[in-house]
Amino acid sequence: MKTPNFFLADECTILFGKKSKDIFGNYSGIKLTSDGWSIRVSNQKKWKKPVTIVIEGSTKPVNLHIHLGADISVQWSIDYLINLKQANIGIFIKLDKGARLVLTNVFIGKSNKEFTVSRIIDQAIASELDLSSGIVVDGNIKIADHYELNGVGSRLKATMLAIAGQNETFTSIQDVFHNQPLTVSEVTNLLVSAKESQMHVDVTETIGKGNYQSVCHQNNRGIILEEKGSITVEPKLIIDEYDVDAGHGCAIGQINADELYYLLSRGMDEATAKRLIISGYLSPLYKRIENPGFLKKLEKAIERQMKGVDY
Amino acid sequence: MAVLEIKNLVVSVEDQVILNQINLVIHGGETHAIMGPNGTGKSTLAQVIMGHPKYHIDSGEILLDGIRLNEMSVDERSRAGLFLAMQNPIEVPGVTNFDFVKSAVQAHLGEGKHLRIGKFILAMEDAAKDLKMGSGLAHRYVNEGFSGGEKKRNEILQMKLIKPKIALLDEIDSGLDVDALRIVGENVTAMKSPDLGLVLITHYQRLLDSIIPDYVHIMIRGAIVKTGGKELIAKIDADGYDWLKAELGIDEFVEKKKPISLGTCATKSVK
Ligand SMILES: Nc1ncnc2c1ncn2[C@@H]1O[C@H](COP(=O)(O)OP(=O)(O)OP(=O)(O)O)[C@@H](O)[C@H]1O
Ligand SMILES: [Mg+2]
Repeated sequence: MKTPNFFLADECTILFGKKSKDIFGNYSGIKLTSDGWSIRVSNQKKWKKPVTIVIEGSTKPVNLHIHLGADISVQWSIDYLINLKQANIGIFIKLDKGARLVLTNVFIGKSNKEFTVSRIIDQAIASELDLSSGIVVDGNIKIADHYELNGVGSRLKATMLAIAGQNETFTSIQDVFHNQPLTVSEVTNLLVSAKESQMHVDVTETIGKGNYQSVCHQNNRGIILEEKGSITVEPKLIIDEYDVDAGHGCAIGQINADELYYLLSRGMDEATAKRLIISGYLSPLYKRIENPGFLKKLEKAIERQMKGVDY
Repeated sequence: MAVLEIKNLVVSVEDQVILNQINLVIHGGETHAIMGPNGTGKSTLAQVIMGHPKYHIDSGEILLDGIRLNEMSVDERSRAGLFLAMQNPIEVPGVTNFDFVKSAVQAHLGEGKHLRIGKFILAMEDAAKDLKMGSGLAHRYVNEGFSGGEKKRNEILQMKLIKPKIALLDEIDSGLDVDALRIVGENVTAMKSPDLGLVLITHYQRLLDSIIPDYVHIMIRGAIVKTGGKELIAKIDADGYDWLKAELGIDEFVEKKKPISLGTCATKSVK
């Protein structure tokens, strides 16, 4: 996928492309290693503004390492433009003590080859990750997330929105490990199966003995738009400690009948009403996108995934 | 001038008759009030007219301007000129009130016609102002986190912009404080015209003091048992429905429960 100009025009965009002449802007701490890209942030002053990092898809596996030093707080968007023959992608995030990362991570594009995205997160004491992911890829994709809450009081909020279209399979494996007391995780998955797509999500949250007063909640919601589509979610809580607050909610099915009725009663035809309800469902992700050009691009990608849906 | 006709309407849910031979004619320019005890089928009647898929019409007909609505879908009925302000307006997460109302108004324009967005924004702002609604409500999600009164005003806001021929307002007064009730009353009264037929479902005289009805229908156990004028409202407000049940020989056996002994339940008595 060619990188659109609106990214290049944005002073807050860092582009990681296939060619050697990549744009780094005025940011320090970025390195290209044999393993892929590495961003180390240790000086808050140099990373004040929200940043968009655009990564062009590649036929070779590329990794991205992010390491935020103690008490660093940044707001980033990392967007992948998927290649037709996309290779596997690795993202490694390390948050030191008290670091805070608000991250939007969107994948759009088309691939003819099945590929895997692995995200490995390591959080130290009192660190915070607020991760909002959007996966709107035309093709088969597997996403494997591994979150380690390794520091006392570290917090994770992970919201994933995925839309699968025609004949696609989407698989997501999410493992959350509460390895210390007072750790908090809140996992939300919003899934839309358009046309004959098969979506499967596995969420396992583990709280070991002694990790008291930890909180883990997960909520999975899925909308199946057509009869032949399917969404399966397997939520698991493995808890070996009494003093915890854990719970999960799951709702998978068609569009909410009451919401639909309300919109119909205001004159909208069924297709319009359903589109509006779905757009509402997608709004948590929309709200997180800073770059207006990219927002348009995301909307287009979503439209493509939904195209031809028999409402 | 619009006319809504309900002829011998019978509706049941799981073998239980909820609406029993309802006959009602509402002309444009008229205001009808429907009153009646809880659970007598008032909301069901409104929902059946709107076409809620939950209900099946056993027999009878609903006509708008002579056109049979029975087989029409909910959205077609709306576009034909029906509006229902619901007793419990639905929340639609993630959809802004602005987008919702805009799509509703667009739907009523007819094919090929496009909403003039600037004009619409002004109209929506004016309507919100008339109803003393905060301007922020346009950008909040439909009914999500709205107070009871805000939800009800929001229904009237939609009605003002959609401009239906026949509007059914189901307990639009519940949840409104005294000032809000006056505001809603004024707004609805201002909409009265030969082009609008109004049906107000309510339990209280207060609403009918500000939106004065031409006809009052009393519904008990799925049937309209009495129709009269304004004088009925005061009588019900003062005396309830028992006199009517007695007059009509309606046996409210459901209420004739025998006191049941709770046995040896430990009680603390204060003397
Ligand atoms: N879908 C349904 N399934 C089962 N019973 C129903 C259904 N809808 C309505 N009913 C029953 O029909 C009766 C009439 O209900 P309805 O909501 O129309 O009453 P109402 O007159 O509007 O009461 P209120 O004044 O409390 O709003 C009630 O007994 C209700 O429980
Ligand atoms: Mg009711």
